[in-house]
Amino acid sequence: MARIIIVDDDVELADNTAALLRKHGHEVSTLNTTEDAVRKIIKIDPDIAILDVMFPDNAAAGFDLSRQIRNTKATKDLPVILLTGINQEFPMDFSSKDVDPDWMPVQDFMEKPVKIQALLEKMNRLLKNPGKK
Amino acid sequence: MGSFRLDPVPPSSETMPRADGLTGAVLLHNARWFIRIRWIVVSLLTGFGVAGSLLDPQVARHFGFLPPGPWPLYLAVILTILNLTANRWARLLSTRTTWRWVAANIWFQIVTDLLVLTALVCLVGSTSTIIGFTYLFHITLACIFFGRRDSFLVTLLSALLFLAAVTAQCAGLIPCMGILAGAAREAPDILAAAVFAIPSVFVWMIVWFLVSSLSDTVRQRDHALEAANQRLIQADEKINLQMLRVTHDLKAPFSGIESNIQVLKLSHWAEMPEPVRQIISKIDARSIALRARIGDILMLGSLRSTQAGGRVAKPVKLLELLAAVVHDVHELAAGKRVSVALAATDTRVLSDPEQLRILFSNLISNAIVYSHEGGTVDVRINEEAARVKVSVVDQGIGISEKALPHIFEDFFRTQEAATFNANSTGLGLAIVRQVANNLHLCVVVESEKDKGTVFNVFIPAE
Repeated sequence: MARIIIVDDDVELADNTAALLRKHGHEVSTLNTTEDAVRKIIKIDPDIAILDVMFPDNAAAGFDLSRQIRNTKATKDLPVILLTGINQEFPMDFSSKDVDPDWMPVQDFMEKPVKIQALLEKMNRLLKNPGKK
Repeated sequence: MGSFRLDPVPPSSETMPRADGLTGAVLLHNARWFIRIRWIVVSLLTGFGVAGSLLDPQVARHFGFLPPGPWPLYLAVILTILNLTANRWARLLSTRTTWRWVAANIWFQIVTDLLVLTALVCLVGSTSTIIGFTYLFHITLACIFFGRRDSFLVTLLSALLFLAAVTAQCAGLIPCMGILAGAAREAPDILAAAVFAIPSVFVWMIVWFLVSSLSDTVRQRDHALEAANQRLIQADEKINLQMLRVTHDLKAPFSGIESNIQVLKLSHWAEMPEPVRQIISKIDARSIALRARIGDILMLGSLRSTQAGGRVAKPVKLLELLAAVVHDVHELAAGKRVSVALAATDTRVLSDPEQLRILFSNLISNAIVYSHEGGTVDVRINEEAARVKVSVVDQGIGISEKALPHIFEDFFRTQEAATFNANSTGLGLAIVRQVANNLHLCVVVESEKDKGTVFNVFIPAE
């Protein structure tokens, strides 16, 4: 069992993903804004974070939050999976090795809506090897 | 078997600032055209000189002409030197050169031309022939090349040079020459010369006024059209942006539907009767297909807004890239029991890996989707002289010769394709065309109905 935090402005998607993960025995918390998110993440102390990219007030909030997580001492080693609903809008492979890890300090990427089995596989892999991209 | 070749659209060269309604690129084109025209004049002068030297003076006189002597050849040599200079200068200019340098080149050509033309006028007979009207050629060109002020300067310069030459001949400062046997080779009568020269200049002024007015009107129309075109482009971009925003927003509900169906399947699937499960599965399939279509629309919009060549080209290992694409589509291939074979040695090209991935992902997915169950798709790399050819070959339903020229159009689907694959978005090959255009690639399609299709993508070698 892992403790997971989901940060997504789409309440329905966040809740559904949380429900699916709970069915698989994980402990899941959700946040629907990135405001004060790092402090809340520290308080929850999750094993893994799943972040959406686009929020209503900031189209790159997920990128910003992933950098804040990496630059905060308490969360710098937290594995992060980014939900990239925007990868079809941009001809860019976010999971490419060429993506600068300082610009995008996350361990993995998934397209929304997540397929639960694929998400579980990625999570298990990351929890075993947290540093691997 | 039919075939269709998709060539990339060359990028626009209209990069230089505008001046008097003419872009620098057009001015440069005109400067080079002017040089080519001058070579014709050089040839004519040389031919005239050679013919004059070969012709028996008695025969020439019989027809009312005087042998010209060596001067046409001297003028041809002078004009050749000047043209070589202008040509050398023009070669250093490009569409990125500032407008002033291109204009300076044209002014150099005009002024030197007018000086040589004045010499020619004096030698052929300034008032005994109508050679003076050849100034009109320059005046007309100046009206087309420049604005009214500059074309008036050319007209004024032509008039001054002509009047100065006639005055100098009347005053005996320069010898009187001519090619007409009847014309006296002594200083012309001042009054007769004035009666000829002044109305000539008056006619030039009228021609300048008419041509420059006409040219100005055309230029203003051109400006108005360009402004209207810019407004249309801006409006189109705005509509596109709004469409992309709306399309992006449309994706969220479908993601929600799929997510809810996942929850249903995991939590309540066993409680539901079979007919309900079937309906939910249909909703799920429709939702996935619609989201794929929205994804394609967004992808195409994004690729169109990507400036051609704007992204930095990187060395790309083609075999590695194609292997990754084949891996990405393995579920699709397994679903149709289609085997995908990748046979090639590693080859590097200099391109945009992300856009190449999108292009081959679409081509290989299409090859799988339009293959018959149990079929094979071959992906091959062949290195040619200065390019690399990647071929995606299938033995699927093929494309009719009639449909081939349209397959890269947005939302185009043949009846057979729509029947064979109801979930086709009709945008996959439009995306291929956009990537090919962005990366300056050539795509050649060969297909035979019910036999299969070959897509050859030609990428410039590293």
